[in-house]
Amino acid sequence: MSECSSGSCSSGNCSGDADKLPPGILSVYDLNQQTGLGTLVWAETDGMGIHPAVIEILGKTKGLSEDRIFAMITGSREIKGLYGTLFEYGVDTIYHIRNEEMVTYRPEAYAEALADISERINPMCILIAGTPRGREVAPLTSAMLKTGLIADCIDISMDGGTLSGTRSVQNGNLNAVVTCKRMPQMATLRPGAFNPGEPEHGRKGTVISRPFRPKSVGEIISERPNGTPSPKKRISIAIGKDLCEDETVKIAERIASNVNAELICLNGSHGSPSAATDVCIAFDVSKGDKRILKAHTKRLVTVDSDRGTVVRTISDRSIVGNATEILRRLDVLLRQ
Amino acid sequence: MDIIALVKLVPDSDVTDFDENGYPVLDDVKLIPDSSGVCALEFAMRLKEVFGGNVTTLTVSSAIVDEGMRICTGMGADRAVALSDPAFRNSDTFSTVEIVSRFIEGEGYDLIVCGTRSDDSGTGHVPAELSVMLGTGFVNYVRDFTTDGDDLIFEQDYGDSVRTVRMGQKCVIAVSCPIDPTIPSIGHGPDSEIVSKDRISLNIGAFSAGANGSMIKVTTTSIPLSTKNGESDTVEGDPDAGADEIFKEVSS
Repeated sequence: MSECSSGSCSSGNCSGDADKLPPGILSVYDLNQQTGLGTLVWAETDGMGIHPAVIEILGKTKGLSEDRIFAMITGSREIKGLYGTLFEYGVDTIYHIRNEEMVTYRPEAYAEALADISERINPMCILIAGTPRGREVAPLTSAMLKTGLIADCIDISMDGGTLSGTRSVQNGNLNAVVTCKRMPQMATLRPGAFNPGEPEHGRKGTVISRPFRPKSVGEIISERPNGTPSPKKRISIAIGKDLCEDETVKIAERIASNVNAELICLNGSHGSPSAATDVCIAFDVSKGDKRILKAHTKRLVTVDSDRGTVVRTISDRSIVGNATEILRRLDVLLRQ
Repeated sequence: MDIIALVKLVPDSDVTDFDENGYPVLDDVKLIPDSSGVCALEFAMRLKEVFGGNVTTLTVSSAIVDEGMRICTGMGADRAVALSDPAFRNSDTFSTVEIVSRFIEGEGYDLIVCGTRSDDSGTGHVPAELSVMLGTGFVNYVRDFTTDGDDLIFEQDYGDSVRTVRMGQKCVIAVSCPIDPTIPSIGHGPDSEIVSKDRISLNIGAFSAGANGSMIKVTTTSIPLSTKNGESDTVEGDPDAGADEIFKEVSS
């Protein structure tokens, strides 16, 4: 039997056909091979320091592989004080983008910078925290790099250089394990889904100041803080379709404001918190919505007016009673 | 102003069948606009009130979506375009954006309005990826707008801060839903034009559409494990007792 087929030669002796390729040449020209090493992380800052969700990513990334961890940070010289935090949580090399135009958060410019660093260091993966800004920068970057992006992972793993991300899909009815077809492999990681690692005090690394000039983007006219800072305990309150009437919504808004919670009104649509929460209190929501909410919170407490709608397999704690009345009493209790 | 509002059509039911890749089986399922698409279309109609022009609502689907698009025209869209072909099945956001941009490149437009995140998969990638593919500006988390001459001033809500930006008119914006979006009742709009375009008419190769053109691949799916396995702690009692229990939960 001939050792040669499909246009390639496995022995190197196919002199009868000048078009035959030498052994192994096809795999050499497979341009989508995993030639990169290491993981690039966007070190988002939140005005107080490195965003906690970035620390969570670093905790997970350290356990993924032995390869180097790169981080991109932007800002003026003032943020040099944050280098130590990144090194202690596992970063080996920091790329500091110091351009004056990059001091203020600009999604397109930050994505350009990440793509620029990625093209230089050729990482295996780019991981970004699934914060509101991370969810903005990540798809811009993936589109610039023309690569795949796994959204909102609740778990990630690495096997033979292939990144697998687990995400909740179809309204929380399924978990899907997703891989990227191209390099670098990109994923956003849901805040609150990963434990931050232990810092290694005194750990050092390398800092590279990288010049970068972004393309012109829209003009930022103003920016102001929106309400109170994020509380330590993240809470969401969800109310079902039947409770989404004016008076009850107002009560729920007052309660949410009192406990610094995010309010989700499931008025005929599915919904989920913008970030993972520690506790979600759900009032008269359907089974499907309970499942979605459970996928976004560490602890789900459900309140059901009808005992028949209690789903003990989903809720961590269920309360049976008139949901509207419980909302009213809770409102009074919190105002006291 | 020519505005294109992107709308995702999702099954009008809680439970659907899913294929091995975790995508819903859409055969015989009624499809309706999701809440983020409704918000996008409502925002587009507000812009039209100020600037005039036309609003085209656009969707990508592997199924027949006339009924869902009639809801959009019923909300006031001047034209509905369905980029629909069985080959578009299992498209990821990258592949979807390829399909959308192929259509949009042949159209004139001033502004593209999207929702921030769809109800079902909720990646929120399409608006950003579309802006890169079209080479236009991008404004996310938009909750309001004003005008200044020919410029649009958008107010963005990032959760922890509110930002105001000025953009030229040609850009992609993603609109945040209000807390209580008004979902239209299922009904039929006027007999506005519904344009349907398939893969061939968009000149998209078979290997660039659907799962073939996607940048990610679903390897396995599973039903999420219930954490408590039927062991949840149930409290029954009067409303005061229930309120007390919740108070402990949120204040501990």
